[in-house]
Amino acid sequence: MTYEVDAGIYEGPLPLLVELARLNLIDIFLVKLVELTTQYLLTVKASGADLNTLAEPLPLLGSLMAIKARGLLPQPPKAEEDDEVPISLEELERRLKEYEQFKTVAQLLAELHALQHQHFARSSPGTPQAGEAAAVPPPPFDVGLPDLMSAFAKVLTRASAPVYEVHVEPWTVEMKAQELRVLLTVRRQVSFLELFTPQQSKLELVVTFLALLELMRQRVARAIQERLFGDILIVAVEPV
Amino acid sequence: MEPMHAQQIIEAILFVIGEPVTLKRLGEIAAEVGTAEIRQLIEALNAEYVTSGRAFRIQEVAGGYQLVTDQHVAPWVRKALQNPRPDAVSKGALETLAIVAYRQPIAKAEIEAIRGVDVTAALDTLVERRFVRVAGRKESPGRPFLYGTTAEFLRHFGLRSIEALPTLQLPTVQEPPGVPAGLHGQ
Repeated sequence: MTYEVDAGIYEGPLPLLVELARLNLIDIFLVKLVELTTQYLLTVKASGADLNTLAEPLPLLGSLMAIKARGLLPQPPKAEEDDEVPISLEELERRLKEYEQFKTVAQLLAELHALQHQHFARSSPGTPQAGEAAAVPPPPFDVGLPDLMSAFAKVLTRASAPVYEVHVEPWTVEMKAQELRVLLTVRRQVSFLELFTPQQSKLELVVTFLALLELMRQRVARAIQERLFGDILIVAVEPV
Repeated sequence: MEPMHAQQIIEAILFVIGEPVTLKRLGEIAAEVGTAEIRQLIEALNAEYVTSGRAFRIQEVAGGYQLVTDQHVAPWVRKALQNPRPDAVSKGALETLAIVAYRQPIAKAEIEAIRGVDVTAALDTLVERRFVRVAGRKESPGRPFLYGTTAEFLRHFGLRSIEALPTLQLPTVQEPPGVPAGLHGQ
């Protein structure tokens, strides 16, 4: 999903804005980052929580910020080596045109895909098909962030361990992520609830949950449900 | 053989197989009927489906013929199959797919050079959905994977072949400096 922004002097896809700023073709100081972040936060609130879609603009917004920050710093008189080959305007234009074309095709593909999915081929039970005709049993489906959150909310309510004053952080997300990684390597899949025990403190539970989200973000793990209202399973993502 | 009978054979095969059957394969099974004739029979069948108001259509897709239901009955078929969501492909994944379709075999870095963003997630999705597969490795440092589209892609997008995609207006791009020539194409 190309994320579109309205930055006053520029209105269009975010990747293009970053590219223009990087090449100094747009004055980054005229772009109000506050507005972009506000827009992004609104999108986050409005669009529920599809991690992939929401994550995509983040590195771009980050690089915009980096470009602006760099602009604020005093520039050394002349960089010793300039290994960045400057891109000519024609080349940039050509690249943009090329990209435009692929975007047009992508739009066409979306239409073709929607159209083709109005047609169903016969699905014989003997030969399971990967296509639109679902074979039995139905494939597991991804659990969204809201469902994971509410499942975790249940975990928190059964947390019974008293809260202690802790000075040194005994758990880190990295540690828990590593543990989860090992667990997934050995077991391939674990039940979501199994990851948390009522004896664990809230802090540990939260850290474990963050570690899980981190692994999902890194596409090491995936949360699936084998049937509606079934247990949420955390499965290792097979390397391609 | 009577044409009526030959037509029944073709229809029966397509009904049972439920996925694209090549003209060649049809010719092998119905050895009594020539491939040119089979093509005509399929056209006749399609015309008949339309005029007599049947729910079927024969599509030419992914290099073969496939018997499918007509789009007008799609809502009910979907209900019957308990297939609630026609799974859409994200815009980012579609753009990546478009680039792969035209530039295959292509390495991830080359796709990223065109789209200007990281395409790891998009490629993962496409591979997972079997629209794209690893089609080899590039003979350059790191030997990166090269990606190409699959027959599954053609099936899901109702394309006869990869050539059925519209021709791009832009002339083929010259190789960027630093990439040795002769790496494109298998």
